[in-house]
This record gives sequence, C-alpha cells and structure tokens, in this order.
Amino acid sequence: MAGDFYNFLGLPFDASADEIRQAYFDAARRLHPDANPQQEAREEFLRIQQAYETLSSPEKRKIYDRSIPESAKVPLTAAMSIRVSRSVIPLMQEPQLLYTLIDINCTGEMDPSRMPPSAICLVIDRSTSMRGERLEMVKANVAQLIKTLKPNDLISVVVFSDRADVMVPPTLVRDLDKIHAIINSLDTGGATEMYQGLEVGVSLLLRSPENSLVRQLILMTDGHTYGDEEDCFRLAKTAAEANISMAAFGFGSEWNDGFLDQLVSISGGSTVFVTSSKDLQNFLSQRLQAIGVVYASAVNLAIAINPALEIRYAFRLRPDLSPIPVESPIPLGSLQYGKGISVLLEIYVKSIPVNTRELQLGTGRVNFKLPSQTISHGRLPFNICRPVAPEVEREIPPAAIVEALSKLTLYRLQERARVEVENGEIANATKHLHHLATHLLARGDRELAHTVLVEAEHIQQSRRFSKDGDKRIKYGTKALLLLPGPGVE
Amino acid sequence: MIICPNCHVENLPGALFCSECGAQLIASDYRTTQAFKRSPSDTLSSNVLQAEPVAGDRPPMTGTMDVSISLHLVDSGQIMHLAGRNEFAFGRVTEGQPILPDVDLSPYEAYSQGVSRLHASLKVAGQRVMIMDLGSSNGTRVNGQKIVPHVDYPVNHGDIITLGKLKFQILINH
Repeated sequence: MAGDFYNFLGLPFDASADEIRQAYFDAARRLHPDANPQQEAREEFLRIQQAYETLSSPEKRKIYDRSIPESAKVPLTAAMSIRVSRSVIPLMQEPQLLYTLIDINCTGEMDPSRMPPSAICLVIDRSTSMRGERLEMVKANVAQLIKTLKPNDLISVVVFSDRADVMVPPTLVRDLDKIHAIINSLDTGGATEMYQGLEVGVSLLLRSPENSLVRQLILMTDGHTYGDEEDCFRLAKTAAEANISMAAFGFGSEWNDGFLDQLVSISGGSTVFVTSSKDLQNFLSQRLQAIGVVYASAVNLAIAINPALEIRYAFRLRPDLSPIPVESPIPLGSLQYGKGISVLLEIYVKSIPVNTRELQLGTGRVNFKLPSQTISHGRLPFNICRPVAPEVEREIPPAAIVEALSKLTLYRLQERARVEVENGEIANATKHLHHLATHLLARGDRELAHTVLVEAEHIQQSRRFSKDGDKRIKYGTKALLLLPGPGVE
Repeated sequence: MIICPNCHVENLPGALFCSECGAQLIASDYRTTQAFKRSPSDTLSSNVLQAEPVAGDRPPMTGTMDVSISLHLVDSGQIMHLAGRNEFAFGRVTEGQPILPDVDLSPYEAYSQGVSRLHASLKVAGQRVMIMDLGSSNGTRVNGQKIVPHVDYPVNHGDIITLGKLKFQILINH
C-alpha cells in the first residue's frame, strides 16, 4: 500500500533523516532476531529493513515519495504548547519544584466523510450483585445510547460473570434491530471474573479493521475481581499495542477503583463512578460522543527528562481527568477535534550546579496514530528549556497552571490521606481530610465537605475509609477540576 | 524553603500550594485582570463638586440621609433597606464580641461566606456613598475589584459589593 514504508517505521511522511534513523534503530532493537526469536518479529524485522533502506537514501526516498498519492501527504493539524511555572529558573543548590503544563490541540477541522468507522465493545458485569437497580440502569440507558453511534460503527456486547458470553456479536449500528430486546433479556447470576469478560471483548475488537477510528472496550462492573488482576494487566497491554483503549464504569461502592484505574491507564483511559441512572446516561453519552470526533488515537508522550530532574506527579486535565503513571512513554488516550489534551507535570529539581545558564528540563515527542489517513503516524517533537539566573524577579505563574493546581491540590490531599490510612497514620489522615473540608467549604461545596468530615470521623473510629465515602471523595474532588476547563484561555 | 503561612509546614521553593494544608503560597489575584467595567465614579464626584459651589456649604456629615440605600442580596434575592444612620458597619454578630456591627449579616450565611465580624462600613455623605473595608480577613470587592482596607471607595447605584464571598448589589435612590 502507498506509504507503507513510513507506516512500518511509525513515521510521518515529512520525517527528517535523523528521525528515520532513530525510528529504525528503535524498531531494530525490539525486533532483532537475537532479541525476539518469534516468526512474526522476523518478518517485521525484514520489513523495517526494507523500509529503512529506501528511506535512508535521499535519492531512493525521492523516487518512493513520488509513488505516494498527494492525497496521502496530509500535513499534521495538531500543535502543542508548553508552559512552565517559571519563565526564569532560580539558580539554587537546594531542591525546588517546577510545574509544566503541556497542551496538545488539534487545529484542523473535522471532515466527517473521511472518518473511518469505530469499533466499540461493551463488557457488562452480570454477576449476582448487579441485580436490581444497577442492571436496570444499564438496561434503561445502554440500548438507547448505542443508537447515537454512527450507522457504520461496529458494536458488540459481552456479558460476564464467572464466564463470558457474546450477547451481540460485532454488528453495524444501523443493522441493530433487536438490541432493546437483547439488553432487556439480561439477567444476573454468578461471581465476577473480569478477565473472562475482558478477554472475549478484546478478541472481538481485534477482529475489527485495524484502521478503525477508535477501538474501545467499555467495561461496566460493580465488583472486585480476585486472582486474575495480573492477567488483566497483561491483556490490557496487548490490547493497547493493538490500539485498543479501555474505559471503565464503576457502579455502587464495592468496585475496586484502584485496580480499574491502573487497568485503564495502560491505554490512557479513565474510570468514572456511577451512582445513579442519570450519571450513567451522562457518562455513557459523553464517552460515545467522544468516540466519533477523534483526530488521533493512541497518543503517548515520550519524554526524556534531564537525569538530574524527576517527575514527581503527572495528571491529565483534559479530556478525561485522571492521574497518569509517571513513566515513558505516558499513554494519554485519544486526541479529539475541538478538545485538546492537557497534562500537568510536577518536576523536582534537586540542585542546579553553579554557572548553569540554561536548564533543559526534558526533550521528547508526542506520538500518535491518525486512523483516518494513509500515512498513519504523527509526532510532535519538543524540547523544554528555560534560562537560569541567580536572581529572579517574583513572577506569577501562568494562570492556567495556578488554576489547575488550586484544584489538583485538593485531589492530592485526599490521595495523601488515603496513603496515610493504609500506613496506619490515622491522625495525619484525619488532619488532611479536615484541611480538605476547609477548602471545600471555602469554595462553597458544602455537600462534599460534609462527606469528607463524616469520612474523617469514620476513619478515626474504624481506621479505614468507608467504601462509599472513599469513592465519593475521590471522584468528587476530581470533578472539581472540570470547571472551568483549565488550560483553556 | 517556603513556610506555609497557614500551617507552618516547609514547602519546596517553586511550590504554588502547600502540600500539607492546600493553602495558596503565591500572591496572585487574577481577578484584577478581568475586564472591569469602570464605574462612573468620576462623574459622580464631579457632580458633587458642582453641588458645592462655596467651600463650607458642604452638607454636614451628621445630617439626615438625603439618599435611600437598599442592598439586594444576589444569592438569596432578598432586599434589605438601610435607614436611620449615615454610617453602617457590616459584619456578623458572635458571642462575646466587644464591638457589634450595625448590620448583622449572619442570617445570610455570613460565616460560611467568609464575612468577618467587622467587615466593611458603608458611609453616606451628601450625595456620595462610600465603602471602606475594615481590615477583614477575606477582603471586600467592588465590582470584582479588591479594595485596599481602611480607604474609602465611592460606590454607585448598581455596583456589586462582595464581602468575602457574600455578594450584594447596592441600590441608591436619590
């Protein structure tokens, strides 16, 4: 296919010679027969060698480029901006903190005619605990909302308890006729074994066309899974490599939010806490709407931080709120038209050597896939560098950073209390929850403040969080960040 | 190191919020950058100048009010009429307080809105109405603009005054 050499190496058509060399070395290291004896790896290794041979020679590349139709050479319509809490970094031998806000935005206009269909798989928990109100919520909303997808999107539904069944095999949305009846026939029974459901869901999605706009698995559950967590993580990694993202909806107070957060973060997804039918309706319609307007998927931030520095904390502010794992590359999910991705990093600087004039915080690239285009890889390189001076003037950091941090600080206060409860430091945890409640009161958020205070009392008595209050506080403080969209100027 | 003014915990330089109690560690007042419709106070004071052709002819401060003032509480929609004085101290009454405010805002959830016990005072002098912050903890704003404590600021009909977070609109009837 036209442009495949670029796709093999994961490069855009305007890649520089350095990028081509780098991409080849990275891929070769991964696929070399010595490192990876599998047959598929060997074939892929031969492919990238062939691609590199052509692209690394300017003459051959020119001839090859001529064979690619002009329509495939679409320039990127994404841009990024980086803001740092200080424009000039004070020269200090003692440790200091810097905050960096990275915004990735799509500058182009959406062209619906060029958007390929998506593949969505709903994986629904039908264990005994879902009986009653929870399953009714699912029945009331799912069938109806599925219909808001585009007619040629592929939808499948898997239900699971201790085993999984395909309720609706991958079907075009326009061909769905009995969906209401099928969903309504759902009944409960059995235990929760998530791996079963996820495995079937992922295998269905793997059969969807590889250039789908989005391949997404939406998990709806109310319980814990036992013993198969590691299998689930492995599955999520395999899925993420095949460009399948996961999102999770937790019902009620029993589900394991920590586990699901970790699971979906592998593909840059997020979890939501569903307490009512209205919640489910809102969250699900938002999620499904977001699928149709994706510009780039599998966005990740590969950042090589200056070795003298350390990223202490990373949080995604847009489009979905969630703490993100500090690793490289950081999976960020998908980039939507009209709604960017924002990531806030807290960077710890241990010491800046005397005579430093300039501090390089880090270099890296934002990598992503463009499902709607022939040459399906894109990247935005960046280099964060700031001058250093022994004397700096007092300055007010960018408003977007302060705004985001003012709320993120509250989220982190409850995170901290959580860790302290785990370590048995009840007095500290209570103190931090009280501080949190004070700020919530000052903001006028009395209901959440009350929940926090009740929870603080509960902790003092029972030395642990109540299951319900725990999630209300976590998702409540997270939701503070929703308004008004930080990073938007 | 930065010492948090609220809980006295040490934070790393560059921190913007205290990691212990969440208090803001940097001075910032972004509201000042908001579009602020300048109140026509200049016009008002020039009217006053015209109204006093001869020095000494100024209406005495202790005279009766020749304007009537009402407060429209933005959140609750209630209207409060002020009468009988030329100066009104706003605040909230608590037990064992030596000086009581003239206008007790406790019924309007003053405590949770961050109103100090003696928060601000409204003065009427002739045609002029002025507000002064009495060194309150959470400050006073006129149309979103924070005012300096212990300084009189002219206010006009329709201005929004915020004590802590309690908002009211001032209605002046000449």
